[in-house]
Amino acid sequence: MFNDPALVESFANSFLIVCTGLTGILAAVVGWNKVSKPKDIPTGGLQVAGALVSDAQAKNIVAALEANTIAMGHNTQAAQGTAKSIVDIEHELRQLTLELRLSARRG
Amino acid sequence: MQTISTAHTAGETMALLRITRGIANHFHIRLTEWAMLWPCFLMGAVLIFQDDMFSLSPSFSTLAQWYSEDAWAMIVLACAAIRMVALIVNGTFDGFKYSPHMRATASLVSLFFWSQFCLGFLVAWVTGVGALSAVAAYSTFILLEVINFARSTRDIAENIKKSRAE
Repeated sequence: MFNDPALVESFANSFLIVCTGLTGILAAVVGWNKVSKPKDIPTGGLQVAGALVSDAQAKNIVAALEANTIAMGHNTQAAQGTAKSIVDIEHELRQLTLELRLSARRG
Repeated sequence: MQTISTAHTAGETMALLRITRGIANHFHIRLTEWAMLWPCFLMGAVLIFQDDMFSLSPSFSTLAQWYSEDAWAMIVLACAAIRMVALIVNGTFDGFKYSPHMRATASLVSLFFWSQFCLGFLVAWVTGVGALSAVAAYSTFILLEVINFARSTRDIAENIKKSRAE
């Protein structure tokens, strides 16, 4: 077989065409699958902050946000209460200071 | 006028910097394709400058069956030029979608040339007038071009899928 140049040529060319073709097809399949598909979203899925999440995840996120909002409200009220207490204390201090001055004048 | 020419020079410098950075960033990924530019350009030049090369050895009979020396020189040089343009564009201008196609085409043409080149030496050995050492050397180029072709087709498939997803 390997004494016939024509046969050697045709065999070598055929082998190369088949190998190249198969390699190209395989590489194309690898490249095609390399590009990841976007995650399948269950029905009713939402988009939160640009990320696609499932329905259950979205509900958890919303619940957490609501809880944080309520907590922030409480903190605001507490801060307001504290501010009010500070104002009251300041008023009392002024009253005391005034009484002390009056006492000092009388004394 | 001086302001216009200064802006023009700055623009050219920026373009050159962009091209240089683009090539450098992708150089290690495209190393085999850059490497195959050298033998393609050099062989094209050799085929032009030594126009009786085919007549010097029966090892070139397979190549001579297809085209003349001048024709092969043009084919190989065009292949190298297309590849070089594709590599520069691919590294710098991502918006051009057809550089993988150009790279794949250049790889196939180059593969065809080097396979016939190598086959000539193999056939010469079969008929008892050549040495197998050239087959050992030039088959390396064939292997590199198959790798280049595979990478190009992979990039083509990726681009197609990405453009469909958009």
